[in-house]
Amino acid sequence: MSKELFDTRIMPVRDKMYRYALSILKSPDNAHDVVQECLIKIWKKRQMISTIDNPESWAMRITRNQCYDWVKVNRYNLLQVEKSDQADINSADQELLFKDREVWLNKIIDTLPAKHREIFHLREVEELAYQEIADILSLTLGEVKISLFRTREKIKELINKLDTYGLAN
Amino acid sequence: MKKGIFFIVLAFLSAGVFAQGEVITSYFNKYADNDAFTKVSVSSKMFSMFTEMEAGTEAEQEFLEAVSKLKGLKMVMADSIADAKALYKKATADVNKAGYAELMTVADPDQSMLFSIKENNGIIEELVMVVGGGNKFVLLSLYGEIDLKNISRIARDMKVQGLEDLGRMHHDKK
Amino acid sequence: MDSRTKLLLEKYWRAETSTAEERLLKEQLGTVQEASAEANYFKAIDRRKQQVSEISFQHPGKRIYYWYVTIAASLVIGLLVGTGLWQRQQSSSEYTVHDPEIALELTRNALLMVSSGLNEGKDLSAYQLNQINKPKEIITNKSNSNIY
Repeated sequence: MSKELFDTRIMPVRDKMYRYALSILKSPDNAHDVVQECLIKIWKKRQMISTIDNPESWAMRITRNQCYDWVKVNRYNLLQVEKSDQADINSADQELLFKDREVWLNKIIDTLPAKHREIFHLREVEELAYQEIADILSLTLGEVKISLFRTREKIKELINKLDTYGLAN
Repeated sequence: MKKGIFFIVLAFLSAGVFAQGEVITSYFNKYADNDAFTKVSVSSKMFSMFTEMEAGTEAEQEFLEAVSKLKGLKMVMADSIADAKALYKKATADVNKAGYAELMTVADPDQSMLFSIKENNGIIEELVMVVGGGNKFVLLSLYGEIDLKNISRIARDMKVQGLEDLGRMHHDKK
Repeated sequence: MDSRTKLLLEKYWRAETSTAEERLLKEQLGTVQEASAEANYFKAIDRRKQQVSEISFQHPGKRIYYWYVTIAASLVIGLLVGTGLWQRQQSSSEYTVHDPEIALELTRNALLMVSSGLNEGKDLSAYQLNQINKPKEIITNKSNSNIY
C-alpha cells in the first residue's frame, strides 16, 4: 500500500526534486546526491504518504530542507557563489548574454536573492500553484505573490533594456 | 519501627530520583550467567580520559564532542538468541515501566527499535536504546548530558566510509 | 505574436496569470521562431524544464533500512570477540572495560549504533533537531503528521 503510494506519488516527482535541488545547489552531482538521500528518507517514512494531502509538495519541502542541511554540513557557502555571480553580471560581456539564452537566464536568476530564486524556479519551471509554493517554503500566500511579482518586474525591466539596445539576437 | 518506615520512604524517594540505568542494571543481573549475552560497561573515568584526546578529523571532532559530556555506557547484547522479538517486547515494557519517556520507536516486521530518555530540567540524562529482531538483541544505556543533535550527526559524518574504517580497525586488532 | 498572446504576456509580467495561462504562454513562446529577448527568456525556462535527474531509485527495503544499525552492532560484538572480552567476562561479574583503547573503540561503535538508529528511524535532521532539546515537543511518532 505505502509502497504503491511511493511509486505513484513520489517517484514521478524526482525530476522536479532534482531540478529544485539543482537550482539551490547549482552542482548537478550534489543535487543528485541530495535527491538520493531525500528518496531514502521518504521511503523510510512511506507510511506517512497516505496521511499527507499533497505528497508532491511534501517531497519538495524535504528536498529543500535536505539541500540546506547539505549546505550546512558541507559548510558550502552559497552566498559567496551568489556574490561572485552578481559581480559578474555587471561587467559581463553583453554579447555572451544574448548568444546563450541559458547563460542569460542563469545570470538573471543568479542576481535574485535565494528566496526569490526558489519561488521563481518553483513557479516558472515547475508551474506550481502559489499555495503549493507557500507550503514548500513555509511562507504566506502574499509573500509568494509579491516575490514573484517583483522578480518578473525585474526580469521585464532587463528584457526591455536588452530590446531597446537592440542587441537581443 | 518509625525509623524503618522512614528508611523505606527514603529508599523509594531516592529510587525515583537517582535510579539511573535501573533497567540495564537489572538486565546485567538477569543475564549474568548467560553466555549468549555479552555485557559491557564503560565507566565515567574512562570517558574523562577520552576527552583528553585530540581530534584529527571533523568526524572525530564530532565524536569527541558527543563523548565529552557522557558519564557512562552500558550494553547488553546478543547476536544469536532464539527469540529476540519476545525479548525486545519484554525489554521495551520494562523500559516504559521504569518511567522513561519514549523518544521514538521504529516498528518493523524484522527488527524493531526503541529510544527512550530520562530528562531532568530539559537535559537528557539517560538515553536507552533497545533493538530486537531476528536473533539480535541490544539494550544500551548512555548516561551523562546527552545531546541528541550531536549524536545523530556522528553517523552522518562517518557514513559508509567511516563504517569501512571501523571494520578495518577491528580486523587489524585481531 | 497574436493579440491574445500579447495580452496574456502583459498579464504575465504583472504576475496576474494563472498556472494554466502561464503554461499556455510558455508553450506558445517557447517554440516561436522569434528571437526577441522575451522569447529567449521563455525558451530558456523551457530548457530548464528539460533537465532530468536520471536518478534511479531501488526501494532499499528492510535490508538496507537497518544495515547501519546491524553493522554497528556486529562491530561491537566483533570487537568484543576479537579482543577476547566476550570470553573473559564470563568468568567474572565485572563488566567494566579497563583497556582505554578497547573502551574507546567500543564507545565509538556504540555511539555509531545509537546515531545510526536515530537517523534511520526518523528524519531528525530537517525538522525536529531544533526542538530536540525540548523533550516535550518530541513525541516523535505522534507528531510525524505535523512535519508537513
